[in-house]
This record gives sequence, C-alpha cells and structure tokens, in this order.
Amino acid sequence: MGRLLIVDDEPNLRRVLGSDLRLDGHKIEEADGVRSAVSLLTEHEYDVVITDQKMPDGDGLKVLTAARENDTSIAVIFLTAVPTIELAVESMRQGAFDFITKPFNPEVVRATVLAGV
Amino acid sequence: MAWPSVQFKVTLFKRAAKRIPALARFDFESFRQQAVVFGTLNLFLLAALLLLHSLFSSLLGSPSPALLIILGTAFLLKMLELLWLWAAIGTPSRTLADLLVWASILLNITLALALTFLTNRGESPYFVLLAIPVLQAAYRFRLPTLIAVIVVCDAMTFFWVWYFGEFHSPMKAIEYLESGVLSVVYALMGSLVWLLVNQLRSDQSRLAHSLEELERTRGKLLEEEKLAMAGRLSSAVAHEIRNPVSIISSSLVTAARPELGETERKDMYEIAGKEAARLEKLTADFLTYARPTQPQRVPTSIAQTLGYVAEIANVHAAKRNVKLGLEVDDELQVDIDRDQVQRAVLNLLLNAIDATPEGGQIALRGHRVSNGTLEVEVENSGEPIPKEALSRIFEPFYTTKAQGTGLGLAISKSIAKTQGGDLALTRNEAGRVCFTLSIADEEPAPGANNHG
Repeated sequence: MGRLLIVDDEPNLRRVLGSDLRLDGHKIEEADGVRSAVSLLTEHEYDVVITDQKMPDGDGLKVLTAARENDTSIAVIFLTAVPTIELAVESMRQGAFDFITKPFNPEVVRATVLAGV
Repeated sequence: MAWPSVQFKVTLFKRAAKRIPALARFDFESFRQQAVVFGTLNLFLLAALLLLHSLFSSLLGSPSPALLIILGTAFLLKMLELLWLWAAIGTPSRTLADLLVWASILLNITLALALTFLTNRGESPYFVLLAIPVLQAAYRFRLPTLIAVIVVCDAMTFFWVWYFGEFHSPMKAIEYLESGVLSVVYALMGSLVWLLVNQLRSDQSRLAHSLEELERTRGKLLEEEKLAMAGRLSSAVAHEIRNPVSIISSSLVTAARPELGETERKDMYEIAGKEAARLEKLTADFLTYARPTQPQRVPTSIAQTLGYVAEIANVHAAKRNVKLGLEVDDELQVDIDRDQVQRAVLNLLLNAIDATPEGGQIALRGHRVSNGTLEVEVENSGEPIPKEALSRIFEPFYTTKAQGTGLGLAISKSIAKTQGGDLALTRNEAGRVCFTLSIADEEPAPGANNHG
C-alpha cells in the first residue's frame, strides 16, 4: 500500500479521511496548510497527495507544484468545495491525478487513491 | 479661499443636473422663472412710461385719457400674468407657455404702435417697449423667429418716421438715421442675447450628457461590484457548507466499516455531531447577519455590560498572555439592546485577541459623544490590517483565519446598524489598531438601514 499526505486546513476532515484510508492499509501523514505541506514534501517521499484547494495560506496548486518538483510520479488528488472549470483545467494541465468535488463520496476517494498508488 | 468658488460650482452643477429634463421635456418651473423676470421688466417699463407722462407732461404734452387707459390696461394685464405665474396654478403645457410669450410680444408691439399713434409725435419714447419682444424672442425662440421679430420692430420705427413725415412736416435724413441706430441696437441686442443663451444651453446640455454618462457608469460599476460580491459570497457559502457536509458524510461512512476499532468509531460519530453543530451555528450566525432582530432597548449600565464581555474575553486573552484593560465611566447609562451590543463587542474582542501578539494588550473603552451616541472602542497592539483586505473586512464570509466563518465583523456591523449606529476601523497603525462601534441615542428612521 502507499504513503499518503493529506493537506487540508480542516482538522476533522484530515482526521476522518485519514482513519478511512488507514483501514485500507495506507500510511498517512497530515499537513494543515500549504506551507507545512511544502516542507513535508521536501523531506519525505509520498505516493499520493490529497490536497484541498482553498486554504488560508495559499491554494492547492502550490502543493501540486511542490509535489511535482520533488517527484514527478506523485499522484496529486484535488479536493475542492468550489469547483470551477478554470481550476479543473489548470490543475490537470499541471499534472494533477484527479479532481474530486466536496462533498465527496469516501468510496470514490478510496478508489482514486488505490489507482494512484 | 477656494471654498466659495467650489461651492458655487457645485450649485451650478446641481442646477444643471436639475435641468436635464428641461432640455428634453418642457419644464414649467424654468419657464416660470424666465417669464417672471420678463414680466417684471415689462411692468417696470410701463410704470416708467406712466410716470414719465405725469412728471414731464409739459414735454410730452398732457396725456389723453385713451393713452392712460391703454397704458393702465396693459399694466393690469401684465400684473395678472405675473400673479398667475407666481401662483403657478396647474402645470401648463409647452403650447400654452408659447402662446403666453407670443401674447406678450404682440401686446408690446401693438402697445408701442398704439401709444405712438395716440401721442402723434415725431420722436416716440414708446419704441423702448420693443426691447421686450426682442429679448423674449431671443431668449425663447429659434433664430428665424427672432429675425422676424427684429424685422417687424425695426420696420415699425422706420414706418413711423415715414408716416409722420407724410402727414406732418417732411422728415429730415437725421430722423431716419435715428431710426436706423435704434434698429441696429435692437438687432445687436437680440443676436447677442440669442448667442449667449444658446451658448449656455449647449454647455448645459453637454454637462447634462456628461452627468448622465457618469450616472450610467456609476450604476454599471455598482452592478459589477454587486455581482463580484455575489460571486465571492456564493463561493464562500459553498466552502463553509460543503466542508462540514463532507466531514459528516465521510465520518458516517467510515464509522460503518466493520474493521474500524470501537474507540475510533465513537470518535467518528463525535466528529459528525460536532460538524452538524457547526453547520447549525453557521446558519444561526448568517441569520443574525442577514436578518437582524429588532433591538429591544432598555436603560443599561455600560460599565456592567462591557465588564461582562471583558470577563468572557479575558479567559481567551489570558491563554495568550494578552492584557485586557477596560476604561468606562461607572455612571454611564444608555438605552441599548444589551444582548446584541454584548455580542457585537465580544466579536470585536475575540478578533482583537487573535490579532494581538503574545504579551500584547487590548483596550476596551466606552464613552458617550456629544450627540448622545455611545461609542465603544476596541484597540489592540497588533499589526495593522493589510491595505488589500481593508475593503473586504466587513464583507460576510471574508476571513483570514483557519477557524473562522468570516461573519464576526459583518454581524457586529449589522447589529450596530439596526441600532442606528455603525462599526468602522478608526485607527490602523502598527501597535494601534482600533475598531469603533457606535450606537445611536435613538432608533433609526424606518428603512434608514437600507442605505447603509
């Protein structure tokens, strides 16, 4: 199974998603914003990054850029509450693995993570 | 000394703005003003002629009763016209106004001719009356009409010289020359007034057009800003609602997985409950902001009210080693809705605590200003609010905090407004950031809040 990084400013969302994915056998780490995600990405290796789009200290595209700078094989999955076509296109162009809108079906997230690992 | 001139320009501007409809439609009010001026001038001339006849009867010959009756009737007619104009009974159409002007023009021309015939002298003083028709035509009509009126008036002066010469002593060239001078004076006066008036009108219409354009652009900008705000608002609402909903649904799905441990399952249910409560709080907050309840004002001790809020806030302040100082007159009593004001001030205090660095301080001050308004100041020693955020801090859902809905300041402002006051950032310097909440002495007029 894979090494996962969950980036979201909502602690409860990280917690719930982490518990769910841990049951599938993944190893989970959490970051509460763009800054901590970027520093974790430079220090550790991950297979999959799940990142929120809108966070107080920046947006998910920065996490995507940082992830792909370190390792182009990382699958970055976007979670967003406010989906726009521009954002979807931009994230795909920059090499995002998938784009999931909130509220999401946890089954879909699990399946996407499994595909990305 | 720039002030009076600016004031004057503003007045002109406003007047021009008022005249916009006058250019497109008939504006009785502006016609009335003109007509009153001409009527008064006319009345003065007639009165002067009457006076002239009584004072200098030796020069002009004693006036015949017919002449006095005609002058008197004209004077009365003009008086009636002026009275009607002053009283402004009804709102006459453009046609009626034009008829009135034509009646005045014809009256003066006929009067001048009739009086000249009646006195039967070579040099008639009554031709001075012709100035009125010329001026009125110049002010009100197009160039061809004005030229026609000038020609009629000029022709009359020449006709009289010729007529008098035919039936009395033959006229000398000098008499025609005098008529010529008078004609030139009328023609010049008429054209000059016509030019000035038209210059003024075209300036006015240009100004009116610019004003209209300005108004349109302003409306468009406001509309765009409203749309942009609606867009930001809807994306903020989506963000605030979809996050807890995601967490609730995921935690329930995760809790249903058989392989989950018992403690973790309990945690999942607990999280779902917390997020549901968060949604409820969001709804309640939003309703407070969007549909504030009618304030229930009662005489309230401000020292007690602020003291209570300070006590609650102090619990949070102490955790961050922030000192909270209260400055208020113990005797101060104001009619306010205590619960609402406490809520508004608490929001400000909690914001201030978040904005104050460890070891910093917050001052909470309450006092009454001269017009009876209660002012509550919350000042913190933190960093100033960045320029780019200033225009949006009172916007609902605008937040810079990880854990915040961005409704605090919006709610506080809405509370202040329902009590006839406002909330504003009154100082924004490093180490001194101050919000001032004001509560008016009396209820705002119904609907006054809509303008805010």
